[in-house]
Amino acid sequence: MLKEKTGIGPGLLFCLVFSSVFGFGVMNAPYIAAKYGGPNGYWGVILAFFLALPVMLITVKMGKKFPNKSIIEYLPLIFGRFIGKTLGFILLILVLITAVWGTRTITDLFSEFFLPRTPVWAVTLMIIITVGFVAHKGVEGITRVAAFIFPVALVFIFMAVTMSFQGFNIERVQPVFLIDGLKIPYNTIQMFYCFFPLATVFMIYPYLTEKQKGLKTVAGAAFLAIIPIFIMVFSAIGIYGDKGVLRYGWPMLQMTTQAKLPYIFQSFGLFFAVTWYSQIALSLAGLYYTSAQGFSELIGASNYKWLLLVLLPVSYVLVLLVPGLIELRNIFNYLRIIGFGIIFTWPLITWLISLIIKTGELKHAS
Amino acid sequence: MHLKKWLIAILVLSMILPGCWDIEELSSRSMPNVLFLDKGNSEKVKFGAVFFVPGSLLPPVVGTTQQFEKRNFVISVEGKDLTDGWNNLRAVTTSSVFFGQLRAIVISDEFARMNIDNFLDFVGRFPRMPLNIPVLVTKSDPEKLMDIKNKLNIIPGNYISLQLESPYAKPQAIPGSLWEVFAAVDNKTFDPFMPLIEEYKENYRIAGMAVFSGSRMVGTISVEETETAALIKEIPNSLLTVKLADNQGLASFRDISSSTKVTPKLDNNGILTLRIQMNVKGGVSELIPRKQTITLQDKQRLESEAAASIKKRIGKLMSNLQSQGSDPLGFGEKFKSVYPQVWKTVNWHQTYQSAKIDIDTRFTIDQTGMFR
Repeated sequence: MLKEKTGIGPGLLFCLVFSSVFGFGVMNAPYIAAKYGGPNGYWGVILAFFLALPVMLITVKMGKKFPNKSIIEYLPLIFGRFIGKTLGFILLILVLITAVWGTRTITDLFSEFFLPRTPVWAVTLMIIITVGFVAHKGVEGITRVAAFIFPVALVFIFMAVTMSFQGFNIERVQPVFLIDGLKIPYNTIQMFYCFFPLATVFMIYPYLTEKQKGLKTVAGAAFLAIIPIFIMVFSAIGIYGDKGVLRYGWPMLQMTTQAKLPYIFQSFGLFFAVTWYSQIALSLAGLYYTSAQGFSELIGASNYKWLLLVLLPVSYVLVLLVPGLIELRNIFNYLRIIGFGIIFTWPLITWLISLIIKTGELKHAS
Repeated sequence: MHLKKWLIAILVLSMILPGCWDIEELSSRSMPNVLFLDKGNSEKVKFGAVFFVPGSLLPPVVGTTQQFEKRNFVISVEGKDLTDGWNNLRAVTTSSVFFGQLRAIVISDEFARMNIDNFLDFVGRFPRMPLNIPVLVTKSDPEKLMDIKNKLNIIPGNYISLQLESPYAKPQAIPGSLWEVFAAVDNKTFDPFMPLIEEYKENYRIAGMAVFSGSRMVGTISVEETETAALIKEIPNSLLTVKLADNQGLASFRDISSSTKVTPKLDNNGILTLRIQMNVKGGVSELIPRKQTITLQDKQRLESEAAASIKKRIGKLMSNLQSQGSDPLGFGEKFKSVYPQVWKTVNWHQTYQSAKIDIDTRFTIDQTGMFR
């Protein structure tokens, strides 16, 4: 049972889903799309959205079946106590690893571009504290921060999208409709990582006050977030070429730093980096909150805040355990596949089994 | 109360944590304006940079003459590789070398004819290296070239950068930024190209274009050929002088703009034909001998002769580029987009060198200036 008597409207959920999907997805999207999709790798972004649609639909359906329960709470009701709790535990571990991976990613980006001499532990500490502060405020706090930043972020994101076309060459994104073996489906699976933050929705969906608007809200926000990612992937491939994108550690930032806007901004990269940081910080706050809330439900603790105070130092250590960027990229290769396996398939299986055994809130209501 | 504690903790940590390690006063930072590279005498690489004299970038006091005899100075070192060169450069400067304010990179002809992969790897790994700066080639000693005091006494990087950014200079110096060189080398769908720079009466001038095959410079093309290449790349603002048939004089055109369509076609024998269709527009700038009025008949004759002249120039340019095995105009990109599966199986440079070129040009006079 949920301990907090709180609720969020569809508007707040919309802002959080937008920030989470965009913040988590955008920075690595051109690299993954170009690596697995080639010149028309941008299709992977759109197709991954369609792949994520069933996950969103099932989240909403399960939310209706178990209106006051998160995924961690209804998994034991469907699979039985042991299997359900084990599945929940694995899901939460994935969410935590995703959050740790995201934290280390921004740490490395900051270290490389802005704070080269500052030790990694100091940058990480600052990020963990900021993200932890937002996560500590709970679902309402996270979503309200997301809503506060949303208008400014949206303007900067779409400005970056518009300006990212300097040097674009249409031939580099052609042929548009080339089917080259299994490249497109494989690329779609790889690009599904953009939707890992949907794990946050699994946990916070019970707080949604107007559940009839659930699918529209989540799918609409995810679609709005995927549009700039798609355009940026399209322009990155059009500018650098599919092989050229692979040269850069951070193609997205590279693209925004090369945009020349004489007399307005000499370099747009910094503005984009700040916008992106706010978005990924929210995304990470959502993931840390999800882990803390989930673990508290799993072990029956009364308050997620205490769990968060345990998880954040653990995460801090885990972030620092990664020796460097090369290892981080290697971890990401596994994370994308394992994450797809869990975040895409588990809700589907859960829903199917709940249909078969006809379980639901009404049956279990006492 | 909790909120206050959190906020105070964050504020305190933000003051004492990130930033402290990265504070660097401007005075302790050396900011090269141009980076130049050459083949070394004693070591493998000569690595040099142009620095500005501190304080000299301020504008002169009104009513006085320029206070600084020369605003720039050059430091060069040699090294086993570029990192060694960079390290040696750091050893002779009093502060850290920061590449974030670079305005141009100049490499010698001799250096460019070696493999530039290492050079690209080195410059690309600096996170703050500006990627939209031009890379140029010089046939002379880049150290001497960068050490001249040009007549405007503008430091070389700013001078070159301003010169190349002018829309009227672009037909002679087709913009080729650092990131485009990366893209060319990585994608292999076109070859890098870099403007050739030389000294001319204590100033800099563009002397054509250095062309590459992969990551190695293979030759140069003249200024006139570069202007023809600019037409194919649809870069506006060029000029054109046409020698009229039967020694009837000269016709010159200004503000020329072009629209080009390149169609690659493979026949059954695997022979590639590159069809170049170009529509060019321009205004009359000079007629020798002068004509009081350009009639419709004159217009048609001038247009036809201009089109023929452009066709001839394209033919000459293509023959030169094909013989050098260089594709700076990106025909490979067209070919790959039309024949993506064939692209994987062919050696583009070989296919390109043996390709037939089919040129179709049209010229339209759209302005006659102040006169009829």
